[in-house]
Formats: sequence, structure tokens, C-alpha cells
Amino acid sequence: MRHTSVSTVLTLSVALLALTTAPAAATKDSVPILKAPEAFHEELVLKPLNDGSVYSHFQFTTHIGTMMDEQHLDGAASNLFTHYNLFPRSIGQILHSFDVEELHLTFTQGRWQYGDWGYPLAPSVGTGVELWAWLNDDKGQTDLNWKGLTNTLSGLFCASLNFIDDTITTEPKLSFRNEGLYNVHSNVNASSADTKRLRYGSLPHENVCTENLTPWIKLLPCKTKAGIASLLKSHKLFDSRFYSMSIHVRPVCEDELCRVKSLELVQSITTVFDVARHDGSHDWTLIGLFEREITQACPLASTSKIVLHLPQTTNYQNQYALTPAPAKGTHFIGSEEDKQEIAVYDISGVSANSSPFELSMQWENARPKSVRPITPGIVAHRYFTGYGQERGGLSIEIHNNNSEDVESVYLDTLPWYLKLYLHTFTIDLNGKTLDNQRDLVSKMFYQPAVDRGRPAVLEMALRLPAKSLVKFSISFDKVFLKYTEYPPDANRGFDVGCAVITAELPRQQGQIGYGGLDHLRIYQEREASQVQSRFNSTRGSEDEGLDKIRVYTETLLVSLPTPDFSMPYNVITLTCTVIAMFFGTFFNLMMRDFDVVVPKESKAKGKKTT
Amino acid sequence: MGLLSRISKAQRRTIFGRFVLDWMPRLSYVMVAVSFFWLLALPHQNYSHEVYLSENALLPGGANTRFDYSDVLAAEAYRDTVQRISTLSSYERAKALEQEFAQIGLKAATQNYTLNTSTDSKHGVNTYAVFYAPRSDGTEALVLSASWTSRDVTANTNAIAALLALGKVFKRGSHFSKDIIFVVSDGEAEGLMAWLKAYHGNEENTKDRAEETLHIRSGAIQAALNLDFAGTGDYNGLGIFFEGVNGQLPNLDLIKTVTYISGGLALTLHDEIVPYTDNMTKNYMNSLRRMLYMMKYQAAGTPSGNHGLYLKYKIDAITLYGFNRPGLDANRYGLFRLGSLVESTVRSLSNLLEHLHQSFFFYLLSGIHRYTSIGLYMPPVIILGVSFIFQALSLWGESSDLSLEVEAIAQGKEVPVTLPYSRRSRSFKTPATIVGMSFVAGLASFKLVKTEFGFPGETPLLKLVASVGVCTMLVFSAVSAARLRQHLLVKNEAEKKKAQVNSKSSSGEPAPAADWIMLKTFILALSALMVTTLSALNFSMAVSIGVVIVLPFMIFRPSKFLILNAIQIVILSVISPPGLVFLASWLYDMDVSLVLRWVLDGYEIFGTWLLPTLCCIYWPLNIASMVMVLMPTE
Repeated sequence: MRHTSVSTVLTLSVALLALTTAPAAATKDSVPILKAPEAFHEELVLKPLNDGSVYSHFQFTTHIGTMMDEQHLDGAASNLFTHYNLFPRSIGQILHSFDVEELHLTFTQGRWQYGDWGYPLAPSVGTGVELWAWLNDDKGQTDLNWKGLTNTLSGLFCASLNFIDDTITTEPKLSFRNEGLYNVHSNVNASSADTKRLRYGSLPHENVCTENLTPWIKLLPCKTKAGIASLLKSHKLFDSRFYSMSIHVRPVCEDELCRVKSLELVQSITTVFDVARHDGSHDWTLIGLFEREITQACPLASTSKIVLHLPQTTNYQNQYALTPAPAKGTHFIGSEEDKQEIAVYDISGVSANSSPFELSMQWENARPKSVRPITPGIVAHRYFTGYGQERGGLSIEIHNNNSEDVESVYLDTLPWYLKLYLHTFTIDLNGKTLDNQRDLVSKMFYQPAVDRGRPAVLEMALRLPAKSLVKFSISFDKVFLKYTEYPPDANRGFDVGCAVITAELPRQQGQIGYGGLDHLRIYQEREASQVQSRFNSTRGSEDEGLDKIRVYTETLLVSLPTPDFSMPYNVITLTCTVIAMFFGTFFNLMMRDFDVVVPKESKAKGKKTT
Repeated sequence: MGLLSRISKAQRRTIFGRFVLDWMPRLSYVMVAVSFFWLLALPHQNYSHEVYLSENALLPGGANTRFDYSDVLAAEAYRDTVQRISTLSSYERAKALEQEFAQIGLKAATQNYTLNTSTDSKHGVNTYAVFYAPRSDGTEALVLSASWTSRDVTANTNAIAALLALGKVFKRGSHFSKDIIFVVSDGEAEGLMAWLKAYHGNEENTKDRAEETLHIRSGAIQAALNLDFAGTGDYNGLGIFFEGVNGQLPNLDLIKTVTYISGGLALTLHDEIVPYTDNMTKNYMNSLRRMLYMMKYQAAGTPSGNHGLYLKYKIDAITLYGFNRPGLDANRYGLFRLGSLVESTVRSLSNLLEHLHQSFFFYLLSGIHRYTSIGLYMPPVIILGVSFIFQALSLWGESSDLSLEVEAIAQGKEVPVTLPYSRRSRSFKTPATIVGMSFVAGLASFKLVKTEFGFPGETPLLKLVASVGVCTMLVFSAVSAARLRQHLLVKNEAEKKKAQVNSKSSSGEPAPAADWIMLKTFILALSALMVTTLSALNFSMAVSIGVVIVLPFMIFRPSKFLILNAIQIVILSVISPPGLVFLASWLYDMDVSLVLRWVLDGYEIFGTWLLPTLCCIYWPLNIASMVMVLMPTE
């Protein structure tokens, strides 16, 4: 009983409600460590990539409230959503008013090159805007809340999020599970998912620019005045190969037994700079990348660190020089085969009095002699087949480079104007068509599209055989839209958002992704053991070293039959003229009475006779 | 009163009918003349317009190009590399190129393909590389392609070197909104064709056609530039080739963009430099020649370069061709100018917000700056079609008994009255049989020519001869059958007349019109159908067929004079498909079998309509006309 009530408390916004019902049960034994009611951490992860690009990942984490389990509820929890110090009020209010349990919003421009770069730390890298949220469905107002949420976020981030309407929104059954740390615990204890509903929507052709970055920066406690965020200069950020900006809000546990919970806001910016673009040199400096320098650490930040993943060079030692050398030297994270050498710089000491923080990496002969190539476990590509505007096909290729089978989930959302034919769905395994699709697909959810109502959703639980290439193909007809449904740039075509593959993969050497957003907790010694124990407690020791990652495919462009838009105008004017002409004539002929005008005398006669 | 008015109405109708019957044939000849003059007027300056840029987003020449002197040096280095590897085997040079592209930092791969036609087996390896535009979503792409073999049947060294150098230039920039795909295709056209097929997911794996699946892809291709810079030297002329398979054309904006960007550098249509003169006649003749050159490609349906293959996939594309003609300033186009021109064009195309759609897809070019729009060039073909129909209608009227009059008794007087309807029956049996059988023969000869039977000594020429034999047999049997029928009919008629004389019955039903009249009506109506329908699909083909057949089909009729018949038959044989093949081989001084092979290759590789149209539509009508000419006059 207790546990089920715990799970209701888990849902954040109900926490206040729970406050009023549960305090009677509060007892005062073994008071958990009360950390600061709010905390802010800033980190920058840098990694030189094999192709000469430099990966940078800014992560700003804000915690609010030490929301304790109901035995230890005290006044601290009541502060949640009533008083804000570091946590941005605008976000807090949105969460509160729309009953949001978990919120993930990502703006991405460019494509993540899995083949060259491995997996990123921030898991969402689908081109365009991706928004997904878990909403409390206590009052059965999920759809209303979702609409409100999209519209409010649209206003907050100056983006067209309000276009995520019913024709785009889906509710995946297997993908996009809760990410909050203590949900993992709660799922072990009891299933409380019944009262929560998932909503997912993406806008593949949403451009990201400074207008979106500015409101994002406003959420930071130090803005760009101090700390790592002072590196964020839009001119440089948007002149990169890849740019992604996200906010993630989720409830997390602060201790091992999850007695202390907090709400975590993670803001991240991921960019990939092509430093070798101009002269082929792989050398870089912090100021060269961002054209800014860190003159002062953010005084509000609890931790402020720059973590540098050192390149995975082979054969030759000391190919590069780091200036300055890390104060504590480099060390390794990860286990034996997939260890990664990192250098950590603590910049909390940098102040206006000291010299600005500078970092540079110089290669011997400007480029590495040899680096260890990256083979990501799963790479997926999706493309349209066929040509012409009447029908087409969709093919998805999934490469599993692992030496063991991988369980994964495939999610594809296709707009209603592509009429899918499920009977044409075929699976090729290494070039041979499978007769029995159940060999690979253990579960399949298919939601047929409704015209102008909802998209088609194809979700499958897959078993990807080791070292294999699985290819799906499906055919569709293209719909001839009503002429008002075309956008102003009708001849460009229509964007189809990316498909998502979710899989648990063994950690691999040289890849950035390692625990996803939780990864950064590992750098903070205080949390390293905790995250590790979480892995242990939820997955068992044999699964250690598995990371849940999401692989996004490319977005696509489909050209629908498009009328010549000068034509409707001509047709309208022409038909109007013709109709006016005909209608006038017909109306005249039908309505006008042709009466015989009787001469007066006869009238008089008639009168007489009658 | 009522009867009289009806009679006068019938008379009026008769007068009109006579008028039409008298004038229609003459009118149709006038229309033919009008159509011919109209066609000839099309290249004239007054009937064409200045090509203009319709799509605002293109902003041609707006970007500062980055192709500079160091890139020229790089291109020259690549030229040496390409020259070195061009002698290697397909596979080795493809792999070497892949390495070069990868060195630049592009994703590169190769593709194997095999294509077996009835005359040849082709195998090769394509190399392709993709430049992923930074921060773009990769839904759109542009293609720069070059084949190993140029138009001049030499190595396309400069073009491939330019591709590599451009790849290096593009890698430096971050302002592209579309990915750029580099394709170096093997062979002449078949390599690029295999690549395009695989890119659109249509790869096959059969005995005759095998294309490897592509490993790297990008988005929907919006436009393509095919480079054809043969050899290693500089050029003094730069031409644009734009005609695609079956007369498809790229959007006019694409051509305008390149000409606009080239600015001072005079671009030309195709590979001939036409200087502008003050002499109007000379200008007109030049324009006419350019337009005929273009229409020749369109009518044959074979693309004038590799760009033609893209058009099928709704990708606008042109070929830039560098050439040397004696008598011009030397070295006008070096790698620097070519490189900047291509870079600027790509930058311009990258500006596109939508697929090219603003400007014309149907046009005739009489010079690089002048076009004739579809509104102006369609009427002559339609007029040509109508003239066929008028001829056919007048023949149809002739086959009726409009001239026959009956005596009617009105108000006690006998009045000659023409009946408003025909009592003369029209016999469809003979013409329908002949036309039907000719189409069967046409289809049979098409199958015969294109099928590979696999017996020793089999050549296309032999098969053509065989199909000529089939068709000749058909003509002979049709003619003899018709004559036999005529003979029997005459005999019957005589007997009937005898019987009539005996029985003295006056139910004199007029004899049906001669079979050849009905057959000619059929032929003319079908010709009209063919010409007008084709004109919507392939204007140039419709025009050339229409112009060739209009006079023979309209004028020819069986004659009592054997010599006239013989002349007609000779002319019809000359314009029959085999006759045209021989004519072409004589005109171009080529071996007949080579001409045949060119037609067959066009059909088998590109899928042109020339062979099917000639065999299945054009030839049957020709056969039927031959039969018509040889039929008995009565």
C-alpha cells in the first residue's frame, strides 16, 4: 500500500497535493542528507572527432526541491513551484499548469553522422524539433494539456511548436519511456504508468536560429555573462556542421534508495565544429572554436567543469599536446576494453582577477597519424524509393555491427498523405527476403492514418541479428491534396520526420555516448557511485555496460502531386465568368414570366362577362 | 407547305454539303501550307522571346565564388592523377577515385553494374561521393556528374579533375542548403543510368541488368549538372546540351541560370558557335539550324548527353560541354573559368527554395538567348492534324450518295430532291481488315527486331530484312485479295444487273464506294490521331512524322497509270522505316547496321519511343497506304 502511494507522489505536480494528505505519516528517523534546495551545475564536454571535427556538449543542470519521500516530508518540498532561485520560473509554471511529469524538447539542425562520430551524449538528435512529454492524466485532460503545452512552449522558444497538432502527435507504445531516474525505481516497485500518458511530436523542417537560442539562454542563472555559457556566441554556434539545443525536465533521485528526489532541468547544446574545414589542420583552441573566452566562473554554479575526451590514437604515442595540461592529470573512465581517457579542468577558480581560461590542442604535423575508427553498434538509414508523383516506397536499412543480437524498438510516424499499404511490408535480412517476419519482429503496433486527423504510426519490437543488415520496405500512394492544404512553397515537397530506433547497446570504445545525460554525473565524484549503483540495481550486474540509445534516421522530402498554382486562379476567374453568364441567362429564362398583355377593351369586356 | 420547306431545307443542306465537299480538300492543302510556313517562321526573331529568369530564388551570380588560384593548382594536380588512373581497369580507377574523394573528406563509395543488351554486354564501376551540407537537413541534394567517357569518346579528364577540385572548395564552405553528390559514372550513359536507378531504389538483379545497391545516399535530387570536359587542354567554346530522353526538357530557368552566370563568356547551344551578324537572313538561317538540331535530338528521343537520364526522374539537368573549334580565340576556357562557373551555378541552385517549376518545361530554343513557347509552336501541328481530318471527311462525304437525287412528288409535281441521308452503304470490312493486319505486321516486326533469338549469324540487319519481308508479304497478299474481291464483286454485280434486268425491279441500290476510298479515310483519320497525340508527348517527333507523311498520305490514290502507281510506291517505300534507315545511313555516311544498332540501343538502354513508334504506329499506316495505292480504282 505504502509503495503505491509512493508512486503517486512520484508524479511531481501531485507532490503538492500529497503534501496535504501525507504529513501525518511523517516520522523523524534517519533524516536523509538535505542538499541545497536548488543547485546548478555546468559542464562542457569536448571531444576531437576522427574526421577533424570537434564535438562540444554544453550541459547545464539545475535541480530544484529536495522532494523527500512521504516519511520525511518537511517544509522544503513545499517550496517547489512557489519560490524560484535558480530554477527558471517560466519552465516551472509550464510544468505546473499542464501537469507535466517529464518534458523533452530538442531543436536540431543538421544531421548527426553516426558512422563518423559515434553516439552523442544528448540522445535526441533528430533533425528539426522534437517534443515529447509524459503528462499526468488524473483529470483526463491530457490532450488539452498537450495542446496548451505546445502552444506555451511555442511562445517561450519563438518556434512553431504550435503546429504539433493532432495530425502530428502520436503516443508511442514502446519507445520514449520515462527517463527520470526514480521512475526506474518506481517501475521496479509498482507500475504507476496508468495515470501517465506519453505525447510525442516532431517538426522536421523547423529551422533553429538565434531567436530560439536567446530564450534558451534566458533560462540559465548566469545567462552568458559568466561561466561556461559565456562561450555561447551565436555566430560561431550556427556556423557548425551540427547544432542541437535541448531542455529536458525529469524527476530524479538524489540518493541510492531514492528517498530524496528532485526535479532536474538539463539544458544542453551540442555542436560539431569542422575545424579542419579551412586548411585541413586538426588543431583547435577554445577561443578559436567559440570566439569567446571564459573570464569568470558562474558564481551560482556548484560545479563548473570542462571535460575533454582525448582522441583514441593508435600506434604512436604523444601525437598531440594539450595546453594547459590538466591539473590532476588524465584518467580513464569505463571498463577495460572500452575505456576512455579524459582530462578534467575545473574552472570554478577562474575569476575576474585571474587570467581567462584557455585550452588548446595541437597535433604534431597538424593532423593525427592514425586514430581508432569508430563502428557504432547500430546505424540506420531511411530513404524513399521510386519516382513520380503517384506512388512511392519507403526503405529502412538497419545495420547491426554488434557481434550479438540486439533487441530494439523501431518507431516511424508517417503523415496521413502517404497511404501506406501494410501488405507490401517486406523484410530483407542480408539481402534475402524473409518469409516469416516473426523471426525478427516480435511485436508490431500499427496505427492507420486518418485523413486530416492523425498520422500513421508503425512501431515494432525487433530482434536484430548479430552483424546483419535488416531492410524494411513498404509502398504507399501519394494523396492529391485539396488546393488550400498546400503550403506556400508547395513545389518544395513535404517533410517527413525521422524514424527512431531505441536499443540497449554495449558501451563501445571511442564513442561519446556513455550513460547519455546521466553521463555527466559520473564526472562528479559525488554521483559516480550512485549512477553506477542505479545501473546495477535496475539491470543486474550482467547487463552492466549497456546504454540505452536512440538512433535517428534522416528526415525525408516527399513530393506530392502539385497543381500549377497559377491554374486555380485562371480556372476560378474563367468559371466565374461562365457561371455568371449562364446563371444570368438561366435565371432570366426561368424566373421571368411572359404574360400576354391583354388590351384594355378586352379587359373591360372580360369584366363585363364576369 | 411543310414538305416544300423541308425540301428547300434539304436543298440548302445539299448546297452546303457540296460546298464543303468541294472546298474541304482544297482547304486542307491550304492548311498544310499554313502549317509549313508557321513551322518555318518559328525560329524567326519576331516569333521567339528573350529567355528570362522566372525563379527569383536562384539569384544567379549573386554569390562570391571561392574557386581561386590555389584550387586551379589543385585541379591541375587532380588532372594528372585522373590522367594516370584513366588507363586502369574500371574497378581500379573507381577505387582510386573513391580514395581521392575520401581524402577530401567526403563520403565516397563505388557501385558495380552490368547491362546486357541484345547486341552488347556492358559492365562497369561507378564512383560517387556525397558532400553533406553543414547544418542542412539533407532532404535535398544537387548532383554534379561526369562520365569517364566524354562525347568525343576520349577520357573526360578535365571534368573529373574539376569535380575533385570543386569537392575541395565546397568542403570549405558552410553556406549550402543542399547536399552535393559527385558521380563519376563508368561507360557512356549506362553507368549513370545504373546509379540513378539504384538511387531511386529501383535496382534490379537479373541476368540482363544488375545494379549494386548504393551505400551512401542523400535527399531528393533537385537539379544536376553534367560536365563534359574531355582531354587535358583548354577549350575555346562552351556549349549547353539539354535534350533528354524522348524529348523531355529541363526547366528553362536552369539554362538561363548558367547563361546568366557565364555572363561575358559566350555560351552556345550545343557544340557550334553561332556569331550574331547584321544580316537578317543569315541570322534566320542560323536560328533555323539550331532549332532543327534540337528537334533532331528530340525526335530521335536519344538524350544529347548524360543529363538526359536525369529528366525521367523529374530532375532538371543539363550538360556543359567544352570543345575546340578551329578559327576561334584559343584557350578561352581553362579550369579556373570552368570551376568558377560550376561553383557559382551550384551556389545559385542551392538557393532554391522549391524544385524548379517557375519557368517553361516545353520550349524550342533557336539560340541560347531565344526561346519559342509552347503556345506558339503547338498550333502548326494541330493544323496539320486538322488538315488530315478534313481530307478524311471529304473522302467520307465522297463515299456517300449526296449527289444522288430522287424524284419526289410534291403538290402534284415531280421535284428532284436530294436525300438528307445516304443510302449508299459503306463497306468497312476491307479497310478494317487491311489496317488491322498492318498493325499486326508492325507489331510483329517490332518484336522481331528487338528480340534476341540466339541463332548463329543473327544481326539486327538480318532481322530488319526479315520484317521487311513480312511486311512485303502482307502488302502482296492484301493487294491480291483486294483485287480478287473486286473481281468477284464485279462478277456478282453483273449477274445481279442481269437478274435485275430480268425482274425489272427498280430497287436500284447504289454500289458502295470503292474500297480504297474507305481505306484512305481510315489511314488519314489514324494519321491525324497519331500526329496530334504525339505532339503532346514529343512535339518534334510529331512534327517530323507529320511533315513527312502529310503530302504523300493526302495526295496518293490508286491510278490507272501504272507509272504513277510505281512512283507512289517508291516514295512510300522511301519514307517507310526501313527506307528511313537506309536514308539515314546514306545521309550520315554510316553503315546500315550501325544505324540500326543505334536505334536498338536507344530503345534498350534509354527506353526511347523511336523504335516502338516507328514499328507499331508509323509503319502500319505506311503499309496500309501502299496497299491503298495498289488497290483497284473502282
